[in-house]
Amino acid sequence: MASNLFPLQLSLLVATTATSLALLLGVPVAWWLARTRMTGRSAVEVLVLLPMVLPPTVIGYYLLVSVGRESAMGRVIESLFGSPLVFTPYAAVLATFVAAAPFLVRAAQGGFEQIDPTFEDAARTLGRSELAIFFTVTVPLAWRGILAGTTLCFARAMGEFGATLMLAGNIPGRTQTASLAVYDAVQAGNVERAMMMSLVLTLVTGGALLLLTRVGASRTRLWGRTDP
Amino acid sequence: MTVLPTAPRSALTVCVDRALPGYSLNIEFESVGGVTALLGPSGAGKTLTLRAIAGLLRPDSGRITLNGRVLFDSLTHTNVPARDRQVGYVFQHYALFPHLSVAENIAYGLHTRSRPERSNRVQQMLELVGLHELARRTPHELSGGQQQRVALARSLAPEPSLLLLDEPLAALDAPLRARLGAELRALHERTGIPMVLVTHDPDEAARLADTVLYVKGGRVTDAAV
Repeated sequence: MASNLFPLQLSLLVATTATSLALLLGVPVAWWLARTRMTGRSAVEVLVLLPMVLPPTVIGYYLLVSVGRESAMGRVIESLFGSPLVFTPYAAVLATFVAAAPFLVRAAQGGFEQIDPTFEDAARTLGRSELAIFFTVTVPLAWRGILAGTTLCFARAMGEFGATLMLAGNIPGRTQTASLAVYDAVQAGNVERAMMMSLVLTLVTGGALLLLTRVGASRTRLWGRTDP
Repeated sequence: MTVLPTAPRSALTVCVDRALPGYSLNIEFESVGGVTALLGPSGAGKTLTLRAIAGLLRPDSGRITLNGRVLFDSLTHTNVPARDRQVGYVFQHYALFPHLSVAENIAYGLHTRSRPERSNRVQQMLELVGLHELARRTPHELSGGQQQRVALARSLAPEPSLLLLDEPLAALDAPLRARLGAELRALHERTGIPMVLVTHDPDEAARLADTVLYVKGGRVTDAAV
């Protein structure tokens, strides 16, 4: 039974880790994109969002070229950790992160762009540091966009297939995520297993999308106080 | 001009140049306290001048000093960041933080004080503007006049050396405008804090200010006491 559930557990773990990484790195990038008007910004934006439209196999191929065993970075990783990155669960996290993070960046950037910069100016004249302003004014005012982006990113991460297959492979009990297990089960004619995996994936990602529609519709506030 | 042996009390000197699309800002004036009004049509550069004094807009060149302290000097590459200028700013539409209560808005600039000091100061400010019973409300539940009082209390709470007000009465309807204008004047008498305000209304400037400076096309054209 444990091996039956392994792909689902791995999917949840990989998607959660990749989404956390995307929050940590993607929110500052989204803020920078929303606030900067310097030349070169568009190039950065295209680069960050490109994985949304590239075929996942192409993302996987680029990752193989840049961190595979033959690449310079791949050799550094191998000499540091004693083993290559490719075909490990870490590779699945990296592939999933690259494929899913743009969804978070896109939505969070929209959230930041909707904030009137006067609020941040007011905070500056009240003596607060830029970092304090980011956490006490900017993020609380953009939380809708950030949460929507996090949800989309997680849902996309749960469904990641192509880039993960290219970089992490499809090793049962090691790198085989739920979406890969569905493919294997169908190939092997194991209809029951394919259906079980598909239903759970549908429930989890559908639940994430339900949360997304609630975020769009509700007027409740994340910081607790409700309107009378 | 003779050099004074000591700097006059609460003196503000402003000299800012900034190229803008369509015209150039070239503002020069001095204020030795009281209430100074920058009067002029919209687009004259009044708000930009306030933003430069507050440190929210970097002039191309010039010099700004407050009580002998250099806030900006292009020659010495001095540019004190807005957070260190101790200049309060009441924005035209108040810019109250919508996710914080009235009391939290007022406490926002008191982050360096201890908790009891902070709540004392918030109580003081609520009393000053007469909004005690609204401390727990959020800004969007308040009327325009109440929002303006909260904005005043918030900017005065950290005890700034100067208060800047951008069209402080423009967002209010006429009867309220007269009352809050008088309140603002009374607040100045009570706190003694020097103010620079921006308005397009000559009557308002005459009623509120000790000194009126006329701003047009990015320049101060004449001063009338």
